[in-house]
Amino acid sequence: MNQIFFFVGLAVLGWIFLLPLRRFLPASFMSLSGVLWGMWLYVLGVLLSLFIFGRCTGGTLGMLLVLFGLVLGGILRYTRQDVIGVRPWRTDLGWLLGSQLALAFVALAVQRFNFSLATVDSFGQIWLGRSLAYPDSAWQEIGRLGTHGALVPILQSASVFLGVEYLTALSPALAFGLAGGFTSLCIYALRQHTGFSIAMKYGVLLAALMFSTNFIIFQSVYLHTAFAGAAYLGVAVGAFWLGIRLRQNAWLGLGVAALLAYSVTRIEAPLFALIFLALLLCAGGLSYSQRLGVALPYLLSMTIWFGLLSTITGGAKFLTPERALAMSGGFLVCALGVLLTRWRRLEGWMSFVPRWMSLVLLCVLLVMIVLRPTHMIESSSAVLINLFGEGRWGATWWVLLILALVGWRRPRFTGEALFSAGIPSFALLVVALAFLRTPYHLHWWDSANRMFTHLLPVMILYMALKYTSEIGGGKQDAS
Amino acid sequence: MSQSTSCFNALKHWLIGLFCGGLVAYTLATRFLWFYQQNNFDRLLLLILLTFPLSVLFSLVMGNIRMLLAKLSARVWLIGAALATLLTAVGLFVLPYQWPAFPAERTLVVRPICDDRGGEVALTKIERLAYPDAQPIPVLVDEVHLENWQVHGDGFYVNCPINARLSFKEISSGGVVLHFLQGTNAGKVELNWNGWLEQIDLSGSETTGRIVRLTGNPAWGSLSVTWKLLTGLEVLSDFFSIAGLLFAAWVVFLGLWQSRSGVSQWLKFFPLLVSLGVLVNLMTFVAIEQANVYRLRRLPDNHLLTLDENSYDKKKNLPVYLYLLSHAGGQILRAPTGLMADLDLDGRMFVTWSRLTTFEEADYPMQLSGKDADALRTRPHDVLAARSGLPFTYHMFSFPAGVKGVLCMQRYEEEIFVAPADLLPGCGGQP
Repeated sequence: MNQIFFFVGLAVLGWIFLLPLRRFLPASFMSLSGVLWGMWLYVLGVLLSLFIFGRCTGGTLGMLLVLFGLVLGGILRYTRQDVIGVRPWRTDLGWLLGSQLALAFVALAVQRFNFSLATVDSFGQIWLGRSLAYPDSAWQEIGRLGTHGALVPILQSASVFLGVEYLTALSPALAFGLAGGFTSLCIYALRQHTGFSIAMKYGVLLAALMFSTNFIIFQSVYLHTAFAGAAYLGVAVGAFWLGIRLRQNAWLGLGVAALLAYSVTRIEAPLFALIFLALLLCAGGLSYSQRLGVALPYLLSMTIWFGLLSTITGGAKFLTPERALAMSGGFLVCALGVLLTRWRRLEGWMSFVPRWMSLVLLCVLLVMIVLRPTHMIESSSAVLINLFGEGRWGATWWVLLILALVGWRRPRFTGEALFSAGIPSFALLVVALAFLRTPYHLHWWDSANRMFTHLLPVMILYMALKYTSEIGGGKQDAS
Repeated sequence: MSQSTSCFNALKHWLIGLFCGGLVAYTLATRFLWFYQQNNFDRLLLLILLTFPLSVLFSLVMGNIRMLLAKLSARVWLIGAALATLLTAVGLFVLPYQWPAFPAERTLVVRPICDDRGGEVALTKIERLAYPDAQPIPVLVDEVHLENWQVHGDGFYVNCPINARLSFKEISSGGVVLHFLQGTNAGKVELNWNGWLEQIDLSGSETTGRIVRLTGNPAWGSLSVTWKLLTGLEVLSDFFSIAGLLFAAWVVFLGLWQSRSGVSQWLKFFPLLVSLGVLVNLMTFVAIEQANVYRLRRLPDNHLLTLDENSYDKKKNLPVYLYLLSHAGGQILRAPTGLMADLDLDGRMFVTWSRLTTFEEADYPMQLSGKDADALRTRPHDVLAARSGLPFTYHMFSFPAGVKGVLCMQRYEEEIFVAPADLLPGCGGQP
């Protein structure tokens, strides 16, 4: 029962977090994605507890919760016109009640019918998470955040407070957030292009494609990080697109929050996040102040995050202190770069980024293939064979590929560069990363194969928008 | 045009759609849906369920393809057809084409070769392959027929008795993977795989594992007429499916390139294509599950140890840490210097995971005597038996409830004893 209360509580907390933006967000999205935001707030709470108080206990989390409440209360007082009178409260409360009942049912069902799956990585994440919840062991193990990523292990730390050995409902709760939150976002995005019935039909159909995929169902019970990455990246890119399309800063801010969450799911995630952030800045038609407002919070947060990791990751497998410091410096340089975009000439060069990003990455990949031909060809082949055969994806990537090829010549829609440049760049970067590690291999557990889970919601949203862009009949309000 | 002519044309149109749909359905069924492994009723159902929507799709698409073809000159689409045929032929016959893996009865017989050197044979695991590239799935001990072999855990052992024979037989499309132990005491073994003989020498200067993978189809000549027809049809359907898709792609791209307004008519195929994808995903779901060791299965409870026991990829020695977590929280654990490295245990995990107060290494004898081990075994305790992920057997003795103290570890051969300090003589007590 503890897990039910925990996840429903997180979902309500996430819903409250979104309240200041009520004017801009549909009620369905606020309720169905609440669990994702709540999880992110919990992770932030634990990190702040550890780095400010040196420990994470119920007391420190409680204090931070009170602080959060005070800050949110202040924001709500300031933005009350965006909260009150937007639409009848019964709409929001109806969605909230319904979604929390559904989430509670999911959490109850998976405890009764536990289909959890684990590999050695899973046990490492559980071990790290539980260690962080004990003051005497937290700082002995915290360096392993540089190996496992932060989000999922920190969420698993709640098992100590809940008195269970591990969170059986974590992966299913993430699946709920992806299914409900991302699908509602997808439908809302489609409604900018077309009418409600077509948006619903396409949205539900694509959600069915995603959730009929064996690997997605598998990962909804597999204790690992890919699902969390998929949920947050999908929401981030969807929010960015809506921010561009509707010219609303609320969606841009939400996208940044989701991108930050995505960036702590895996150590390499910030590299992929930078792709979409760069495309947003260069092709989103943002003003200078909007660019600062979107980029600086993200880039400075990452600068601080990797700076902290550089002080604690002694002995980490991948993220050594030197690499963490280099990443921190890199993000700081990017932040300075954004500041310099006030310079008109630089602003002019930015327009080339969407056009050239994939090409540059392709050239880098080709150079890598020349330098390590066997290694890179083996990795590239493994990625393709996994996506279209061995990786448990079924027909999903085949369908998406055919849709992409057939829809290639269709007219472009506003903000399309986020997808048309972002998706190939993501894929090329995944393959390029093989240069720095052991080659990718066949079968589902390959790292690259799991990373493509992050891209799936983005690809699905892209196809939906591409094929509805000419239908017409869209609307632009949040009701 | 007369009514009969238009009926004939419509029928021709749908029959061509049915023919194309049937061929592609057969390719999908054999390549992705383990068609050969199903029973006859399921095979028929599979073909009908796939052929119907594919035939509808092809019939709908053909009208559009014809319109696009009409806009292209005969020379252009003949070039396309030639290119598609050439590419497909190269792909199928020059590149490593995976010939259909058809199910047949496959027999494995393993015999030790007893010569002057003698020697034991340790076959620690047999795994089956659903198809040649599938993930290996362990074969249970009960599925293997043994004559004068011994069973130990999941493995099989023999030391040259007379007429020792191990045999395993099943109908599958794949093969088997054999895990042997090589070492100074190991001898030779003869493998008979579907009548093909091989001798392997397992002797070596140090103990290591050796994996032997036996795959391959039975000889074409040994197949029945039915299987010859089925596998021949698969090659044909692969050829026409791939060539047809390449040709259609050629026509579509050229047609779209020449006319942007033709794009919008593809919109109606978006839901159809996605629906087909959902259908294929649902139909491949069970087959994908069955071909993987990692598959969805309900766990009996929500304990971490159960999760580990049901994992194919086990965290080494996890049962030890979890046992101590649930039975020895707050205790101190002491081990002789060097034992942790021998057992591949991580002292840090005793504190951070098992929540022991302290872990310390001390200078006391690592080995327990046989007499002391026998005496300890008679006392009430829990046993963590050696298995996959747990190389040694652990005898776990607890303090009485509410009592905290020092737990010590000592070793007797392949058994590890973890007990209160006063029970282990080396650590300062008497058993």
